[in-house]
Amino acid sequence: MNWEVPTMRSKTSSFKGGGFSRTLLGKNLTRFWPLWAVYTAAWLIMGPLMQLMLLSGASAQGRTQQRLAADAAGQLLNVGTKGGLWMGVIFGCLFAMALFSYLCSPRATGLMHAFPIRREGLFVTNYLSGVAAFLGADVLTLALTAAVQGAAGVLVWKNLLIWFACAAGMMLFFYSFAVFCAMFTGQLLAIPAFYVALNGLAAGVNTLVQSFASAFLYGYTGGGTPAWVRWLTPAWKLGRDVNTNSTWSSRLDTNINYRVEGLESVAVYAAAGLAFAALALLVCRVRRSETAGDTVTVGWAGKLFRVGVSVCCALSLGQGLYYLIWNQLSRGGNSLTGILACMVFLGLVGYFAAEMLLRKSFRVFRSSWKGAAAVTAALLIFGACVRADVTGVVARVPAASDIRTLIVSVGGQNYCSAGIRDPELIEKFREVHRAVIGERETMQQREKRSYAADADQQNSWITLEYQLKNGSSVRRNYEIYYTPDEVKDAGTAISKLAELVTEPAFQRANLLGTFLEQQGRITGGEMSFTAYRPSGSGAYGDYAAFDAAAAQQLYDALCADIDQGHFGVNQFDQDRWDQETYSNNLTLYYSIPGREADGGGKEMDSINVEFSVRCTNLRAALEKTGALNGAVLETYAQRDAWNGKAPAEAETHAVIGGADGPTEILVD
Amino acid sequence: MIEVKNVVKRFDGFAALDGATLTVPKGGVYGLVGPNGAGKTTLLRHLTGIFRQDAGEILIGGEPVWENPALKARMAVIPDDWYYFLQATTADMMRFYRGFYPQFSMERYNRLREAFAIDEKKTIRRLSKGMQKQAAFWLTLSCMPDYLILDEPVDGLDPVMRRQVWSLVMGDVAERGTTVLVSSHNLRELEDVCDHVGIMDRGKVLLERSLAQLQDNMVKLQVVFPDGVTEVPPELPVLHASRIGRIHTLIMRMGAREAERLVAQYSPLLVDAVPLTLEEIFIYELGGADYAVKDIVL
Repeated sequence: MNWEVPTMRSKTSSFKGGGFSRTLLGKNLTRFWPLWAVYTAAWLIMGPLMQLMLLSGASAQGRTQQRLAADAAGQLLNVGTKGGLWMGVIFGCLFAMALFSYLCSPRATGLMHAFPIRREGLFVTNYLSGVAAFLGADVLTLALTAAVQGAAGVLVWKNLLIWFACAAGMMLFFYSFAVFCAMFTGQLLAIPAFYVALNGLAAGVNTLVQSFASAFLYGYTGGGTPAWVRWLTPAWKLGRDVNTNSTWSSRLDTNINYRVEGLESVAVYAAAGLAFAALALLVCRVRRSETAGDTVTVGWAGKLFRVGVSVCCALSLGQGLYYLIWNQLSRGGNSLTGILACMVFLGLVGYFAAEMLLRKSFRVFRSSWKGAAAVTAALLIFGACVRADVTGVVARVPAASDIRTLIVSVGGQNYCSAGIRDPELIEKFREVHRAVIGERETMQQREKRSYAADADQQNSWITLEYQLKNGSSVRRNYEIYYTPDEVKDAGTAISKLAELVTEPAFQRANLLGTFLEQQGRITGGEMSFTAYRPSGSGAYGDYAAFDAAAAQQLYDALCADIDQGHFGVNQFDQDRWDQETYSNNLTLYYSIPGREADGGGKEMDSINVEFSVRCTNLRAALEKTGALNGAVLETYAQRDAWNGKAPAEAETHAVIGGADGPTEILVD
Repeated sequence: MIEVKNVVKRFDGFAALDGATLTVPKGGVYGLVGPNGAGKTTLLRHLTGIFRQDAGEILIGGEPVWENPALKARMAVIPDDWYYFLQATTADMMRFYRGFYPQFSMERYNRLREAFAIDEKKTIRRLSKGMQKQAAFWLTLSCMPDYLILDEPVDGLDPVMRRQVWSLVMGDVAERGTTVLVSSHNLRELEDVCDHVGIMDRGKVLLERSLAQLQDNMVKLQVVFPDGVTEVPPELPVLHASRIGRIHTLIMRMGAREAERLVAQYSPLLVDAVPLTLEEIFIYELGGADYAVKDIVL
């Protein structure tokens, strides 16, 4: 039998020198249709279907056209920003897994690479298959949503295009990034693992390194999340940046003027997506076919993988193990030896685990001990460098000329917090900061002693957050241990701080805040107290109320006391604080002109003031308002003394006046 | 012509190919044989552009094969583990192959339907192993290749189908001058179809000759020595010797005449030269390379 037949050139052949393949594109689009269908269906539900329900469902009844248009815009843009992010994160990875799955099977790789098409052709065709799939679904959603909105007469093309930009832009980035990850592995399940790990790696390592450093660097509590770390954590960055904003309209009883913030971030990431696609193509060219099935397919990436897994294990699991075990066994501060031992142990576990994954063998110890030793040495050097503070973190006090704002929080008898811009006051706090750093060794020794319940020792804390002119910030937190005598000793940090907290400028910022001092208008006030029932059935809360005029008088008196240094006097002396500070808190309410609250009225706020017997102006003002007629303010010490008596012995203690009439104070 | 010159390929330090060299003449049918792990499949994957060599050169028709789609469009391959898409039918895979191979012939595809009794609409994974192999042959031969690379091609086929596919391949060789490189452990079949043979071991091609040259280069002598000579004289260059009664069977790497001349010095009572089969040549050649059937006592 002669099987020879004349050759007829294939009419459907897309062979054009091994570049883009229409055949492969068509095969991809038909082969993975369930995935494209789920993606499309999800968008169709979130897009046109939800718009249809909003515009024609029961909730649309009775709404004006304007309100329907505003609600439709809000829903569409919210779905575009938040839905687009999650769709991108999830489907970006799934698309890449589907289209590049052939690289994870030696058989499939053999077939595809034996075909007359270049590696670049395969990559470009597969990549564009994914792009075509999601763009097709996005365009279909756009068209149907436009049809629904058009039918309802609320069509706004600008909002639709913003939705499209968000959905397609974020999908482009996450899909391209997942493709990039896929190029580095030959195992299907490693693609999502790499994808998730690399998406959160920067933020995770940043947090873990700061956690380690804060355990050993005096005063260091972490440097926050630098901008570059946020940019390297795409899902987080896009989630924070890309938001929908609107304005409340009382007239329409809904939010209007919807606008999307953070579109520039979407644009940057979309461009980064294209860059990742180009990088993925470069990796694809050097990736060898025989690595199908390997955990890591590129030689240098394998080394990175070993070190990366090891370091991440050391920083996360190592520190976790340390805090889990050491905190149970030891009291009195952190142990560098302990934490390094845990980190090295878990680092080695991670290193050998990575090696086992790479070699697909459990017999890796003998052949990879050198790398493990290098990682161990690196971890020890890292620990030593942090302990030795080679970057000078501990001693760093930002230069006065670099500081834009200093936010100070001080513990003690009364929590104080203030944002300071006054250069003179900032300089005084810098002086305190330097003094605290100078007493570092004493403080660390006292911290260890504090676990032994040293009766002679008290402690407080101070947090200094320098917001610098270059946009960065420096944040420090110190526990301050002191004896009562040191508060009066002019040379100590605690005495400097004690003096500083009485500064009028500091207390004005602490007690009054920016808005009240600059824009606020006092609208009323009240004074709380606790009354005790003569029958012995317990205590109950009551208060005296002040109208706007009376409250304004109290406010003026309060300011006078601040300026005369009557506030913050006993911040670090508990006994005197109890003896001199009233347990009756004064609350003043104020409104802020020009700022609307959610309900449409003026935004209201309040300040709560704990004052002492030293506040003579405020006491006088209270008496003037008649609030203290026949009443006696009680200090904490007095209250505690009365608390010690039996309820049956209770008697009327004071009556104070208020806007709602006299109030009887009963104490036992 | 297919030329492989000093090709080296290492996997994690292990040299799967260690200076492999072979030449397949145009229009020839070259049988590549060797023990398991010799590097045959690795070499074929280089020839089909799947793997890239660390060193050396691979030329087909004078052109390098790596990332050469124009050349690969004239080649077709049937690997030992042919891949097809999970849900694909033979017809689906035909359309896929047709999209990649410009010379794909629908006329031949339709004609071959008679030879391969396969339901085109049935998913390939539902077919038996032998029928999957038939599907691979069907598609590959429809690509009208100038170069055909086959790795264990008839493994799983029944005897009738083996003859069928060899008939088709040999028809292509005869009619179209197709160059065929086939790797197989079935030496009996290779002996029937190959005109050249290469023997691989440990990443190297130990020898390659035409089948006739190979058979001329090694001889099996059956000898009866005179009384008193019970052992084979040690001076004789014998690859392998065995004895049944007084008849010694000697394998010698040389021509029959020279072997008979050497043995004649010992005045044998009987000398008879017998041609070796390819399987015997394979066994005795590799026996010299420390790869022989071991007498294992269990």
